[in-house]
Amino acid sequence: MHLKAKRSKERLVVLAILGILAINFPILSLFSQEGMIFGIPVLFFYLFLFWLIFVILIALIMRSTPMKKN
Amino acid sequence: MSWQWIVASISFSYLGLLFAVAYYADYRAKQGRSLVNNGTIYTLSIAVYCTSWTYYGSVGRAAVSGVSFLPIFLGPTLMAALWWLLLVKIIAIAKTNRITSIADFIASRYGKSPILGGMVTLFVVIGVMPYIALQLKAVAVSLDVLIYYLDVEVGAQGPPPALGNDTAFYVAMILALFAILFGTRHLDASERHEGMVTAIAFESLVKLGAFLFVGLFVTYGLFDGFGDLFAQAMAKPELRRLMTFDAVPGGYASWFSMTFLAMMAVVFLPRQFQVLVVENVNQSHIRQAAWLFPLYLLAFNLFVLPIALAGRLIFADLGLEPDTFVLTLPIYGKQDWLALFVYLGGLSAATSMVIVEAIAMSIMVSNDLILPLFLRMRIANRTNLSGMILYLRRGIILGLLLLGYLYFRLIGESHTLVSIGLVSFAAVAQFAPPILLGIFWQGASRRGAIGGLLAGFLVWSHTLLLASFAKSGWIAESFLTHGPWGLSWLKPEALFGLTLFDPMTHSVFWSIVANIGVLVIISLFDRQSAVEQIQAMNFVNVFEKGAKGGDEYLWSGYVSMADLKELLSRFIGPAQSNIDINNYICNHGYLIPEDEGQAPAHLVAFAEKRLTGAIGSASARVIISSAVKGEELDLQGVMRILDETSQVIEYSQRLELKSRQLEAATKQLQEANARLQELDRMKDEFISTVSHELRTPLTAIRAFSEILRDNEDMEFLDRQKFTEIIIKEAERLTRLVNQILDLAKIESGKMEWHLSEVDLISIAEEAMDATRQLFDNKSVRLIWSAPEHPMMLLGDRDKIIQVVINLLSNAVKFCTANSGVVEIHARETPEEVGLAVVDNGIGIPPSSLDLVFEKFHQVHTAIDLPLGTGLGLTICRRIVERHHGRIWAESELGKGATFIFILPRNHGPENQNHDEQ
Repeated sequence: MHLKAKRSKERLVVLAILGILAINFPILSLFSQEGMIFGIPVLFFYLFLFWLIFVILIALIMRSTPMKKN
Repeated sequence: MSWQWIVASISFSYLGLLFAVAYYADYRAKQGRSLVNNGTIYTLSIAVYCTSWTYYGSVGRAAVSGVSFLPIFLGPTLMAALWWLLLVKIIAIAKTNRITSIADFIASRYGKSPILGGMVTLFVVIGVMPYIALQLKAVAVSLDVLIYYLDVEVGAQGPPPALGNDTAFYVAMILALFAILFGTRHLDASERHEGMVTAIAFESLVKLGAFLFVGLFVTYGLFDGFGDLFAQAMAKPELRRLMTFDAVPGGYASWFSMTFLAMMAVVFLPRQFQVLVVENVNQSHIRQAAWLFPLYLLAFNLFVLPIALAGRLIFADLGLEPDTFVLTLPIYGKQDWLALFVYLGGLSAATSMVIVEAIAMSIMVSNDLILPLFLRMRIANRTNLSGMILYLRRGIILGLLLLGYLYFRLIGESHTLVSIGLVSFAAVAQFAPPILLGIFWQGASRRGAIGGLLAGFLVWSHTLLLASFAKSGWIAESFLTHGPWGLSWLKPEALFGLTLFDPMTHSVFWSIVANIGVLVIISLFDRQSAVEQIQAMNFVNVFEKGAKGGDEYLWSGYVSMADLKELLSRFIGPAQSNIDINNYICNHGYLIPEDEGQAPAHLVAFAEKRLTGAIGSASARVIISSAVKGEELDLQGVMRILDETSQVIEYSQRLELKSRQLEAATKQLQEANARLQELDRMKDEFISTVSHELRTPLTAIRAFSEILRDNEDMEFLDRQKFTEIIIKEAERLTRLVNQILDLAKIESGKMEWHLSEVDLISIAEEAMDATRQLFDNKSVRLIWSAPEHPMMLLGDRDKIIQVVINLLSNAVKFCTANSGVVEIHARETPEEVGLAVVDNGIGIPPSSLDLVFEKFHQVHTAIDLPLGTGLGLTICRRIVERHHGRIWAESELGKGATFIFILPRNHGPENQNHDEQ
């Protein structure tokens, strides 16, 4: 129980660090292009896709987090 | 009918609806069927983060600089991932310490310091006040735009003139009324404001709904979906620029610093702290909010860029303010009622922010700014203060909103207000270091926090606030271009010549560096007071059981029960204080003290905590310490108590361990002593037996020798006989001495064992050959029955022969001459081999079967002289035991005896190993 709670905290920290890396220089600069994906500008497509995946990952980690007993 | 009246009546009906929602939620809470006890309402209340600045401003920002509106929402998304680590801890701390505002949190962490609480409150007022003004301005401007364009064709005229009526003032007053009604109902701010929270959640739904509606209308009503919209935009070079990062002013550095600011703001803005921490019902709601809130932000931002692009495409050359696109696009599309709905969404965004901010700030200002001043001036010595404090808070709310309105009126038209949102973010980011360091590092000290905050705010006000004043023309332009007093290294936007960043990033960098740097360095060289140490411990270790408490050590003075009750009732009312004290005493199973008696320290600590919920930690501490007579313990005192207690515990634990060890050692010593005494007794016995045994043959020898000497005329035959007796006894003596030596050697472990593969059959035959003479002398028959094949075993050949010889000679001794028969049998199993020697002699009484193997035990016969030395069987047993075998006797008195020994095939004498080592 305790180990599981600790593990999901570690996952969240790693997720946040990866998130900060993903939407900052230099990775972000890779997507600063004038092209389009599915009719949407690349930069916006990337940022919103990142956003959606990030939210899903938080939700998944939170689901596997044991309830706190108070 | 004029649109003006429709819009006004709809605005006021909407605000009326808010009152109804809040009232209903409070009604439900009173019935015990709370609406706010679920994660969705909690998440929606957090969405108070999206203000009118978001609602109108994001589109404006996107229309000018592309993606640069996003960090304000991506930051909170990143932060949401860390909520489960940070927020859960902050909430746990706030609940145990009954903390009700961010100022109180910082003050309480750093030794309940009134100075820190006041400082934070002051900074909040300076930093966030303009933000409230911004909301009022948004309401006023959106109203102007709406009413103007509903009557006039969009684009026919230039921008609308200010209507000059005071809708913003009425809105401000209605919001003040709301905040007063639902935010200051009871004094204890640690009790939640359910009506307010529900109304905020409702408003979050309205603003999201309205924004999504207008987004869908613009994308699918005015254009043919995203593809069409983006394709048209890409066709225009000035719009194509917006799709890449080149459009972002300040580039990646600014992007990063804005993300950081938003990460901090979403937790540390006063209104965010209020809904996230103070209004939190259950920590597990964070599990839902951590993903649902970022999802809400995602939905909110989905249509920002499409609306911005549509606005720029449609109103290409009209010079319309991009901030108003959200409103003007539906009007352009002839959707007047949609425009009204959009306006209501903007109104809800502005009002929710103002309401929560006003309530949060009123608690801070009353508890951390005004009350400490009152207490210092001893105004607070009147009887019932609870009513006074409530009115104080109501007055503060009214004052704050009036101030916001004035601010908007005074500088509303200058560009200062536009950037004020981010400036506020930068201000509250200064609270991040003392809070985040404070909840993870016990060493962060009060002086460090004060220094850090001062440094941070100094830099912030110099590089952002004063700079923006200079830009508005309130301060001489030279302040910006040449630095204050002409000191160029102090130029507000290029401090120490740093020109790498845009002004915002520049300010964030220097202020945060100064804040953290001063906080850490002072803390490292500081000595914390007792209150600080205890608070630091309570905050950092809030999850550890047993870490709580320690407060009561601080109250060592005297206060009577009656005084304490009276004190508490002055602030929370007599009825409530009685209930609370009785509940506390009952829940903890204490005895109820007499009114005249001294209040126990833990009860004083409880009263302080109860007061903290109502008037803040710093004021509560001042009030309690004014009532408690006698010295407050100083640092050394408290630490000594803690130290001594822990030392005593440690000593007693060590003592216990020592005594257990001593007991064990004593037991061992007693056992060893008993063994030694036994050995000593055995040795004495042995010596007396040995000397006795030695004396018997010696006496015989001496007696016969004397006879021979004294009787010279003795007959030859007699002489011969006596000489033979002497020789025999001398032989016996020699044997005895040899056996004693052997036994001593075996017992002391000095005997040498020569291990080899030997055959028991040949051993038995050799022994029989050696003893044949004895048998012949006594005419005793020896019957040997053995298998044809050899019986191999691992052992010492000479020693085993000695055993067999001993057994055989014993058997002969006890047989009657001429009729005696001795049989010897060999037996074997796969693991063991053995011999049995059977005689038909006098036998051994059952009681002596085991004793015959003892030293010097003689089976007494009718003949006077003992037949053996009494050591033979003892030596046999020792030898057999060394081979890990066993030897025993079976007998029936008068029918002879059987001696059997059995040896394992593959073991060998155990001494072998010792010899090799």
